Amino acid sequence: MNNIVYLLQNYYPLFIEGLYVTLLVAIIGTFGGIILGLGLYFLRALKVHFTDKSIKRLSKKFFSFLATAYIDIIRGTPMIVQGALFWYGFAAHLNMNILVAATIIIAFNTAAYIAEIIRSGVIALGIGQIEAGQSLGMSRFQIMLRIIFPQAIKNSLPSLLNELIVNIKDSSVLSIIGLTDLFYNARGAASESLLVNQAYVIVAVIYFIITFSLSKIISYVVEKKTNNKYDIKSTSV
Amino acid sequence: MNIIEVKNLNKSFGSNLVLKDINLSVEKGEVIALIGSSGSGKSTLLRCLNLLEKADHGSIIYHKKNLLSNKINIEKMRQSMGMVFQSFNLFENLNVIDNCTIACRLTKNEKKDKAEKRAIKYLKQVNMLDYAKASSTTLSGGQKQRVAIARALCMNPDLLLFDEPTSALDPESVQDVLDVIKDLAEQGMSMIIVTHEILFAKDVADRILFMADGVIVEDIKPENIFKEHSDDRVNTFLKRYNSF
Ligand SMILES: Nc1ncnc2c1ncn2[C@@H]1O[C@H](COP(=O)(O)OP(=O)(O)OP(=O)(O)O)[C@@H](O)[C@H]1O
Ligand SMILES: [Mg+2]
Repeated sequence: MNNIVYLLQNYYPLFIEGLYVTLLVAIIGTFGGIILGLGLYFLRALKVHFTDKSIKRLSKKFFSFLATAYIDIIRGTPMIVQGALFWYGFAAHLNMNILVAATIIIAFNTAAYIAEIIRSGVIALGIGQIEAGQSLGMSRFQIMLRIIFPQAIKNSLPSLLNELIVNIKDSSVLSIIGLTDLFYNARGAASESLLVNQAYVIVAVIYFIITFSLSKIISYVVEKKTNNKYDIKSTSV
Repeated sequence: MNIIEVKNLNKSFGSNLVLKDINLSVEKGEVIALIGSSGSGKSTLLRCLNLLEKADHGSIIYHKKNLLSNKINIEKMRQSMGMVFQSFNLFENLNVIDNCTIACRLTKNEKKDKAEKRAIKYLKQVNMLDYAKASSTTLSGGQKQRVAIARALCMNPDLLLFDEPTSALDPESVQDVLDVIKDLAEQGMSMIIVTHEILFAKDVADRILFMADGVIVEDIKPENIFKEHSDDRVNTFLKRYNSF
């Protein structure tokens, strides 16, 4: 216990800075991932209509295939591998800022999961409003952007915000490419002070407090906003 | 002059042949009631007309163009052919007046106040102006359907398709919606109405078409609807309504 107090007293700036980096890349990355995920779902759901000309037909099939493949590949590989590939194979050569690189990795990773969340959200809404939009002459893009996505996002809010919690925790794997996040800094404190176990206990407690209180706030907000009893606890932490 | 002309239209779902050589022309200003038992293909026919379903072969001539050629601009075509669904399908993230204006504003780049002016006119016509700012999810079924009709009217359609517009309504709201449709008929709107309201069809339609097994088997003058028909399926179908 004394050792933990000692660590906190001497290394607290390291923990705070690390936490700041973790929250920064997780929040911006998740937000970016939602935008990308919507686009990804839109491409994935492209369908050929018989009035489409052959170029449109071909490009719809191509982009839908590409989006589906992307989603499968991202979901089928660990973020730590995606991060290493992106950093060592690409971003490091451009001297990209590590914070920027980490945010991009998180956004492009989480986008694949968000595309799937949006997909179930759209399916749950049913085809009725889409057909109503079509029958009024609206384009698929207009229908999605103005009618379907706002509702799908609202209805999937618990799952989308859960992605934020996942990213707060999982961004720790990006410490291997040199992201100075909470975990990276804790490792620094551990090796400098030689109080290895204590440093990791501290970092575990910080992660838990952040994600647990966040999930509480989210479920409170969601419950207030949508007036339903959806329990986010069951899908988080 | 025909507003729409359907020739030898065929449609199957897998091996299930749902529309068999349908021929149908609707004159400008004409009101057609489409009746027939469940599964006879009424909805499929309507949905083929505005290309929500793709017919297999045949032709649909609308505004001098064959909708089944791949040269048509589908969005442009749909802007002039409205559809009212059994399940209303209002946009649930929008209030009543935005439901009415969004399509015009997006597809015709119309200014907000111009679109709202027309929406107000049609909301008044369907007796829903008091609810202009209400959320579409808070309305009753009959109110939703009247808004859906106003929404379709805002596009200034040349033809309106109704697929059982009152089948999902409680009995009290049915008449409100039928009154609105009757108004439209009197104003000369061209309409194809799939309905189970035989008395309404008799009252409002210029012709009543009876569909059975994917075929239009009878083209009936409204005043003759309760007389004996040559196809016995029509008689059997109507007997149920006569017994009321
Ligand atoms: N999307 C679909 N996929 C497969 N079969 C379909 C589809 N839509 C309709 N059918 C079939 O086509 C036939 C005609 O259906 P349709 O909905 O047009 O009938 P309907 O006359 O509108 O009946 P109802 O009065 O019950 O609405 C039915 O046998 C139905 O099972
Ligand atoms: Mg039907």
